[in-house]
Amino acid sequence: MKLQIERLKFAYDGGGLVLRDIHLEALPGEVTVIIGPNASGKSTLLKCVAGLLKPAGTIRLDGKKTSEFKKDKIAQWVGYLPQENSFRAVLTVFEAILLGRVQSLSWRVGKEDLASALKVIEELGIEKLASRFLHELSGGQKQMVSMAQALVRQSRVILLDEPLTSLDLRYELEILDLLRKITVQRRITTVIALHDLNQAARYADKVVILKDGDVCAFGKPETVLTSQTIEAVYGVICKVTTDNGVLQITSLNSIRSKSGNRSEGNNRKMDTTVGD
Amino acid sequence: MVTQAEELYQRITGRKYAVVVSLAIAVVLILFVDIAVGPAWLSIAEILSAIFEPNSVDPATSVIVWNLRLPIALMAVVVGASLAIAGAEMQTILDNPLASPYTLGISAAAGFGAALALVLGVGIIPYGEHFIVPINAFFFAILTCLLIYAIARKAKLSSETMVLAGIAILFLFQSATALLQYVASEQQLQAVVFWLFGNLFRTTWLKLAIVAAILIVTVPVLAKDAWKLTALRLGDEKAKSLGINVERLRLKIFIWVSILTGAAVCFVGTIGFIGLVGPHIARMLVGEDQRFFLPTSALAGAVLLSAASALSKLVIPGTILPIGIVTSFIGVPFFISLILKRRSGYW
Repeated sequence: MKLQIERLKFAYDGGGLVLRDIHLEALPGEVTVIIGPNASGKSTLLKCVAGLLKPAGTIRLDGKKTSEFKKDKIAQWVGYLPQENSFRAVLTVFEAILLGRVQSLSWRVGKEDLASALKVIEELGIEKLASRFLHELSGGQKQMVSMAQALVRQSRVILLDEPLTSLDLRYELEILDLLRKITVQRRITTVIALHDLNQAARYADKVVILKDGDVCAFGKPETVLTSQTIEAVYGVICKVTTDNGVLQITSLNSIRSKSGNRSEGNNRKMDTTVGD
Repeated sequence: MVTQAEELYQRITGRKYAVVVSLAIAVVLILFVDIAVGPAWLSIAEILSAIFEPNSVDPATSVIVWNLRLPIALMAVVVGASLAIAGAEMQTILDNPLASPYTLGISAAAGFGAALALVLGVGIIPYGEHFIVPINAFFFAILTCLLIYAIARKAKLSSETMVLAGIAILFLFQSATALLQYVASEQQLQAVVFWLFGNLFRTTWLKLAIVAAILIVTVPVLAKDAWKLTALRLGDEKAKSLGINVERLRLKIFIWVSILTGAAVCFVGTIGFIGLVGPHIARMLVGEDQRFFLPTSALAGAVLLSAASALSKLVIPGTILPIGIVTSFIGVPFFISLILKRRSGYW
């Protein structure tokens, strides 16, 4: 399902514009990664697309305006995974995944709902977790369940708000690999808000850079993730290299001051996550 | 695939069905114990005969069962279930383990309404002297629910605000009731204190029918939204993204739970802990799938209040203690043991 965003503007009550004039397009079978500094509007943009906020402008799914659809219809097509998953409910993983189909569930759970839940569990390889309680899961396992909730209702667009927060490297890679695979196999339109530029470079088909609610750059990673753009957006000096066709972004421990002067440090490799 | 999924699902739900059935049997057994105990002890055979073949027992037994003990014992079941359901849904929609009709000040408001009638003779509806106290109590219970909701709505409807507003109202009505007690005559004071203790003695078949009817109407309404209420426990954002109108659902459930609470407390007075402990027991036994959580909470509440009703007749032979005192005596140590033994993740 093709996602198009046109002239999107949004302001929270009594505040200034958080999103200024967003134009974007995300295609089926592609992973679009939104990056940008904190408070650049990444989460707000995803919430607007998920129908949780009412922005000005137009959001289209396969050419049709989402404002013309009922909430439950948008929920059926668009799966949204919030930044913080509240998994305090005393539910098993299987029950929690079934909740992804809440709009079709009746008191007596139908065979189709049960089969869909099991299919997703097998697809994500979390069979061993099915009978476990949510509060017994690790952060990565919770993300898996959250993804399963979106996939179980056959969402055509999946929006993930910083899904790698508090995950170790293994889970980061596992989840991104899985997302990539599902995106291609199911022809889903996947949009992820990320902080890690190297993961964005590795997994994105398209990258969107947001700054102060505006789109600074949009395109393929190799055209968007340049040292000039990163410095302009984050105020951080970076070296961008290519290793076996994959972009590598290394910060040079040098942060540009507001006046534009550079405070030089040791030019050594450091944490490649920029923005936090 | 379907068979495999069904097997997995049955494995998860099978134990929960067993819990619900076991608790239902426990309710029936304790109900009979509650009818049996009292100044004149009755055997189960006598009770069954009195209920199903009234002509086969002596008139005294028939009067004891039909006029005195059966309505009171059934009222304990119905009120226990109502308070526990109210507590369960309040905890669900407010996302707070402390929410219950008692802790949100709804019972305190009902107490104030009753005290107003008992001390000053002020009735909200000038109809029937017999019902002035429960009508006042019901009115103030509903008014408080609406007040809590209005305050929370003004403050953007966060669940924390609703609980804080409820606690503030609890103190307000407790103080107002204390003021009424201060100016009351000795006789009025006794009546107010007796009402505030909470007791089932004033039960009549009509009152029982009213509370039961409201419970019977409310349960299907809550059951219809069982999955949505379960999804609400995943957090507001997630629930909204699943297409649930969270604000509307919360308002709808709050209104129904308010009516249920108002009806439960207006006839029996302030009974604490059932609305708090019942849902916690249910959560530990069956989790929070509302299809099981709702009936299990109701049954746990019914078991607790029925047991308290039976105990209230046994603690001091020849004396029937107000049930509100007994529930607190059972409830407090039980609740503390739950907190101490609780497994991580259950709030």
